[in-house]
Amino acid sequence: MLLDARSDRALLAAFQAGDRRAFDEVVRRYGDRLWSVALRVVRDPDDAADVVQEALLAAYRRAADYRGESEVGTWLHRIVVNKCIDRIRHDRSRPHTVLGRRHHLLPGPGDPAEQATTRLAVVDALGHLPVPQRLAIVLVDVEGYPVAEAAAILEVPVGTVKSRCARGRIRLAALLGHLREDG
Amino acid sequence: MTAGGWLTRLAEADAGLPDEESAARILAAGDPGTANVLGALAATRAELAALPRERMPTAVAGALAAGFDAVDREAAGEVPPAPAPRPDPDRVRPVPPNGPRRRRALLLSAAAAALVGVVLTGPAPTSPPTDLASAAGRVLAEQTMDVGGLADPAELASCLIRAGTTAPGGPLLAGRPVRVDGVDGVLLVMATGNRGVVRAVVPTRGCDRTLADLTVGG
Repeated sequence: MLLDARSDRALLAAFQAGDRRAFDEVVRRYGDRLWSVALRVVRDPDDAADVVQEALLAAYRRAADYRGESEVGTWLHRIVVNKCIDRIRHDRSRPHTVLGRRHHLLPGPGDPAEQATTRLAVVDALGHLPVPQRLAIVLVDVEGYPVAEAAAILEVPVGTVKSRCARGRIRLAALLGHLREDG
Repeated sequence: MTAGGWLTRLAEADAGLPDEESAARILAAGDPGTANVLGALAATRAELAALPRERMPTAVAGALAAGFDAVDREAAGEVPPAPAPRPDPDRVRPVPPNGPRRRRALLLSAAAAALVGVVLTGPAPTSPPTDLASAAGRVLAEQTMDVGGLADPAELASCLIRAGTTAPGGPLLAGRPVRVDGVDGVLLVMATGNRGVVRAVVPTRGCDRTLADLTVGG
């Protein structure tokens, strides 16, 4: 498989010009990141699968209308994030989603049990955050996006992302035993 | 200021609020407890950053590719819109076989793809040359099982060992005849025990050697 050197925008332009496979390369570039964000936010692999497929099929259908107001990656993440929010709202009536399914986090070969336990604790703690804080934390602290990019994805001011991250970190620090929230 | 308010103010300053200059001032003027709070926030951030990047499971990528093709067929007016298959990583469902098969390369990470030319052969619809990961994704998505006697677990294990590779680590999920770089073989897609990860192996038809062996997904 050869790597495609075209920029994201060039790929979208090629897609709009009729090269259907250009979109495949876009998905190949962002697929894992989009999947990771969806899984961290909705916390259930089945729901994440639905979210990512619905989001990318929507993007595929709407790509002809992409006008470049935002970066391609930002645009794709925004669609996925909005699908995540829709899914969480929809799932609030489903009791099993409180805990989510975590077996994808079970330790693999050579994975120290202590690290796996910490990961499980972190993932569980993320589930206790309000969705806006969880989204900000996942994008900035887990996936490593700059605050400005997270703000563009979430369509909120930079200060809002910082504030959501700050409040989310306090809650997580308490849940993970690093901090007593009552002072 | 309440303890909660103090913590929030410190965490916001740690995040650069209300602005970088003011935040630096707040942090520098902190009381003895400030260092503990900042240490706790740093430890939290470190644990969040240590979560591994998850990779899109092969089955999800396969279902997505099938969904794109369905959109293309729909746009071309070839078939009425059909509900997209749910890309459940554990329960891969067949793609409706209506319309010409134009399955695109599987949307796997480049690192997961194998640099071998695989052509799907046999009575089922054939394909232009693709890579092993894409071929595996296709037979998984279509739930093809055309492997003759290799459907028997004992025969399968025996074949793989005779072909010089390791026995299956999980059940056979899908398979069909293929040609790898001009040599006929049988593509076998097997579970590995790890969610979203499959092993794609191609022994020759006589099981005398292995043409390709790749673990994909995860």
